[in-house]
Amino acid sequence: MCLAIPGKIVEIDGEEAVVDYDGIRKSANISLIDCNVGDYILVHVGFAIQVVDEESAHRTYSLFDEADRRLAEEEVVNDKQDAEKSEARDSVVEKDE
Amino acid sequence: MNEFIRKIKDVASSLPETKIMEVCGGHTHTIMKYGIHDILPDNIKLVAGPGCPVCVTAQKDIDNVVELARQGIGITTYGDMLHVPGTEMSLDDARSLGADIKMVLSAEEALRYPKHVFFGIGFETTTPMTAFLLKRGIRVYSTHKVMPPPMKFLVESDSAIRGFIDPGHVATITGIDIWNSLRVPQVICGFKPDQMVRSIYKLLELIRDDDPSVVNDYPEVVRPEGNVKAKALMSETLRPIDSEWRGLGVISDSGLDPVDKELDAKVVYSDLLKDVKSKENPACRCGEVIKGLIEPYECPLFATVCTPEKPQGACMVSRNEGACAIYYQFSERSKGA
Ligand code: SF4
Repeated sequence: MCLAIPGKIVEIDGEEAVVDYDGIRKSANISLIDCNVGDYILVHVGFAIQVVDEESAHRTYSLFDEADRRLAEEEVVNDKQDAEKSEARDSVVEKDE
Repeated sequence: MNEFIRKIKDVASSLPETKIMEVCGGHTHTIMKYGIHDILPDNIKLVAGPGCPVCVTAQKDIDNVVELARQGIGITTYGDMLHVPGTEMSLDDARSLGADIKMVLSAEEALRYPKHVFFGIGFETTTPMTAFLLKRGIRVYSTHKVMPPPMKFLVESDSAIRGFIDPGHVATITGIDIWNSLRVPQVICGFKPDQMVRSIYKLLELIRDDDPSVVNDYPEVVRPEGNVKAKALMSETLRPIDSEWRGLGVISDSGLDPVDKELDAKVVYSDLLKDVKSKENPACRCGEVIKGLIEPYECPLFATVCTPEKPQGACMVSRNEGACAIYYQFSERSKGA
């Protein structure tokens, strides 16, 4: 729960930024830091927690070797399945009612 | 990296049997994944401490939130919390029985359910996001905990621990000062295997020199002052409380509850919670794992009855941070079990 990953800000709209993680783009809340488009940030559960320089961001990227990448992807898939399960169950419950 | 492995051997040769502890589940993950135990000399014992938020959450808190859900209060929380076994059932079980429990990947998603109670969990890395929700009027059941009080508790109860590998992303928020209060050698460490090996070396040097300093070995991310905005938001919305930790008991000023009683689910729903009875599974040795007294594979249930698919205890839930779940994934011993 304390793992954070670095990405590059490509767009800012108020408290929300579009962040590029090595090709994958997702939004993040940036209200906890001061930052600009082009900055590299560390993101944790949807929130940027620190600005990092480009070099250390790349250093952290290299953490994600192939095996790590697969593990991270599996985790996203697992989380999604959990979420889907929850939604599927919700709809079953709703039908029951 | 090889250079530091050699240096570790050198320093270790002048040390007696030395126990050091990592207190971040993310570190436990890196250590097991890259087999860092295997490169340490025999006299250096690196053990996992209370660094996994899911693991240290008290049984009572799980049971309370299950009770709220069963009484018809909607709950939002992070995925791992769903699978922690409660005395009677987990949140996931309650959900199967029809309770309204929504899993969120980010605290911001909880804003979509403004009437739900957010079950907040984690150390300082995750607490600012709950503070953000409180600021927007979301009601919270908080099990948030702070470092370093449990480390102080452990040093006082187990004098064998000579130093700590400090959690890099907790320190990103807190900054460096708070760690000084421990008066024990510590190194704030990043999450790459080469960073961990370097930090272990630096920690052993501090121990050899009997130097109770805190070295920031992750300066590219950890600023001395930490994240000032996040800290301000936390102290505005949350207040310190004595908090119960699985395995460690109640530690003073080690937890956080909402300042605003109207937003504190424990206060608002105190009537619903007053008869909740909690009992820990006596066969689960998670408490001893958290204290670094036993390794996960020393628990008789490990990998036999207790697996990440069917966790019997809190330490087997989080694949990223729970010591039992991490050992299950990476340890050769578990494969033999
Ligand atoms: S293996 Fe399971 S039952 Fe044993 S200590 Fe770990 S979580 Fe508890």
